[in-house]
Amino acid sequence: MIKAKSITKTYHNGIMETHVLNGVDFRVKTGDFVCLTGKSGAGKSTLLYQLGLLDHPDSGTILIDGVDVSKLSSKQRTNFRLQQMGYIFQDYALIPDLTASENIMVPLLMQGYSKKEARAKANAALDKVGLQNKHRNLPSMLSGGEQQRVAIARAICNDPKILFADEPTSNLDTANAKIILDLFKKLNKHGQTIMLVTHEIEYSKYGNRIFSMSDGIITEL
Amino acid sequence: MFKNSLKLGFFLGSRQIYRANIWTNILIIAVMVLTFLNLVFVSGILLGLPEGASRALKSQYSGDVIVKSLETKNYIQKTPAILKYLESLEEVKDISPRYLVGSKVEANYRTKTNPYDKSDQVNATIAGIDPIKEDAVTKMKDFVVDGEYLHSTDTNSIMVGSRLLAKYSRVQEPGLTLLDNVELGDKVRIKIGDFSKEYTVKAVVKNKVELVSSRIFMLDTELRKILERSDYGANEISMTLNKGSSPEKIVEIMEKSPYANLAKYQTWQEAQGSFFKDIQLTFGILGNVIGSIGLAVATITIFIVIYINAITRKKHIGILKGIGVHREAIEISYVLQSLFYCLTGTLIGSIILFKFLVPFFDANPIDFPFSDGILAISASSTSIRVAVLIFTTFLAGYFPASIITGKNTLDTILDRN
Repeated sequence: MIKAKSITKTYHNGIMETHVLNGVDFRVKTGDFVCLTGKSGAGKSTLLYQLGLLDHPDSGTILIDGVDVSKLSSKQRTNFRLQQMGYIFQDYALIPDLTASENIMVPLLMQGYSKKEARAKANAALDKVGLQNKHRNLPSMLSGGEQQRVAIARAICNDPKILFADEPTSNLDTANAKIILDLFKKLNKHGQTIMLVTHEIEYSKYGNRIFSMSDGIITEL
Repeated sequence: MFKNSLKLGFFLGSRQIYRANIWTNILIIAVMVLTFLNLVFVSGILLGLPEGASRALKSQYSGDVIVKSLETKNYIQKTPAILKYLESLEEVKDISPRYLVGSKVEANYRTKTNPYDKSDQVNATIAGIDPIKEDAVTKMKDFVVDGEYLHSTDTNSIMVGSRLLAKYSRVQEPGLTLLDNVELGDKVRIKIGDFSKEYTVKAVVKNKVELVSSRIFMLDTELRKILERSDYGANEISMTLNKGSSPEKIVEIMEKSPYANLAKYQTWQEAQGSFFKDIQLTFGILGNVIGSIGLAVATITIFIVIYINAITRKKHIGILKGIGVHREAIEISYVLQSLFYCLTGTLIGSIILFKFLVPFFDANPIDFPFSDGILAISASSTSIRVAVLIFTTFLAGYFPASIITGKNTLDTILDRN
């Protein structure tokens, strides 16, 4: 499904250069639940951004379902993210002016669904993550765990081929983190491909493939 | 895909407005209301000065149509026949013929003790009028500021225009002589050629039309007698028309009539010449300059508001892009917000303007020295200004949003500069 070859990425800060990815080779198959662990600054999130088309690698190629995504234009990359990918960010990343349901409707409306269809699909996604009674709540009226579940609902509402999750439990307590990880497990059981970045080693056991990153090098454990 | 962007842009924009802080919305809309009023009101007042003067000249002097004597003649030939013809036209409502002659008016001659002293004397045009007909056309009775309007039996009385009296002049204009110490009931001596007679000042007439307020009015019968004008030849004939009647049509009718070559027929606009149009054009340019400054201020205000709004939501814009929302959809949402502020401000401003300010200034004109200042605002000129305001607001909403959405997606998500 995803084939990354010789990915490199260097960040420049004045005269300082930080080599974050040093020729990463990486493969994800459909239905995988990949957990990517490593210390802070190891390059986990950077790799996720390259695979999730949020950033361009300095060199190397990324093929997703046979498509060389490094050759896509900015607009095509946006479309690709919309159609094929789901994102869950560390800090929930919900739009504060929109209710839980409306946050989920955003990508659906962009895909061309009517408002009515989008609302129905959004509510179904919320039901799926156990937030049946929170459709009309603004993010400020939800707990951290609930906000992250809304973010998951938004990421899965359009049935993405792959779900990227960047430290989705880092702002949550253990109980809420478990709810989220159980939810991922459930989604994966239904065939959802997931790539989870976490610095918590114990959470990585939820995946069926575990990778570790250190100094820009990836190793499967 | 643009259709989807449009739909999502409206979805995002409407919710941002709906859920924004109510006081922020009120403040921005208040700025837009003031901008709109500044744009329309200032030029309206400036244009209202000549417009007010023009309207005054029409209503207090020329009427809708004025007939004047030919340049080669002393007065209008066959006046009675022309009047009869005009009266037969169903469009004509009221007619007032006037008899004019230059004169010298002398006051305070009874109290003059030294024969070598300069006499208190001014040159003035005497207008012989039928008081009832004149009032029907120009509402002259309303402009009597002191004393009583002439009655048809007041053979020995006159009404004096305020511009001839020192008492009513704000400043002494160089080269202009005024009658001093003239009060109601005083006698003044009028000299027309060899003719000389004392008349009693019965009233003072004051309005914003210099031509009227620098005349002396007496009965037409009296002046005709003095001038020995037995053929009733008037010097000018003012008339009003029934509502909806066209002055141009009356002029056309008269120019095709048997009396075409006996007088000059003019609509009220033709009678005023290009003076007021030139002044209006000048003031219009001035209004546009001032309005442009207001427009620039409004554009910058909206730009700053939208830019701050977008910059504080930079991370959210990044997230939207991250989950696959096209930048056009985000830009549309911000343009929609700026247009909402602009249109709401314009709507409220229009209501204030057309429901309150215009009727108020029509009823209570500003007392300028040469004009009753009204608000000269037309729907067409307002529409143009509104269109310009909408266009600049569109740009002021689009550019800041475009600056933010144009940034690297990951940088905006991570709030990096």
